[in-house]
Amino acid sequence: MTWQTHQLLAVLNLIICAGIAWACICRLNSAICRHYRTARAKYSLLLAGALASGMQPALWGSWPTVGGVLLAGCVLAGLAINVVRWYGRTHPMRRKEDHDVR
Amino acid sequence: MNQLNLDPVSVSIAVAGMLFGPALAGVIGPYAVIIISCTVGAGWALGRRDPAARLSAAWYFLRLNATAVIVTVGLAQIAGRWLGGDDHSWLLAPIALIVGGVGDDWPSVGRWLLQRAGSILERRAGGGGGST
Repeated sequence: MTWQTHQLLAVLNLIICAGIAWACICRLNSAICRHYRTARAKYSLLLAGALASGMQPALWGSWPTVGGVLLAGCVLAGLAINVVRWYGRTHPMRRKEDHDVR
Repeated sequence: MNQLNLDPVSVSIAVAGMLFGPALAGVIGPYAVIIISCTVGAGWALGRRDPAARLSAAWYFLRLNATAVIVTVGLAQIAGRWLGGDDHSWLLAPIALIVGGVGDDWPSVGRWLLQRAGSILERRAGGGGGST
């Protein structure tokens, strides 16, 4: 009995989606999400999507595809690239009105 | 006779086969929609509250999801009986969303409901009391 490709993809997808979910929880736990409803809605929906995708074998009985795992990886990379913008108060990409909120 | 393999690799594969397989999906069934709806609501509630430690935020999120998994089916049955009709499954998603979205504000919601019920009873007892 060995790991099959679709099971490995499911584990990889679960790990990536757990990273996305953790990033969303961290963002939702910030003053920016407390101030702006659009940011709150954005990360709430992304969190639900990450949960639905990561747990899809158990929730929906379907296996993730290579394309789906790549998309999840790219979303996580996009979130990771933005980390400096979230925590660096003087980052040039940070909006001026957000300089005082963390 | 089958010999039971208890080495870590075989056990992990067996557990993964159970977790990452359609067998569990058949059991979880309607709870999938409850978990997803409650996640959206819990995310909204988490964003509304004051920032706290990250682990505390994750715990808050898990607590709301667990609460929704436990109470949603019962609440949907009560609401469905009150509304009438045979199929109550459509109520699962909105009720899970509300359970998650209200979050820790249930005491204030309860107070607001009691006030509303009190004012309705007062109006009935007093014959339309006060609105002229």
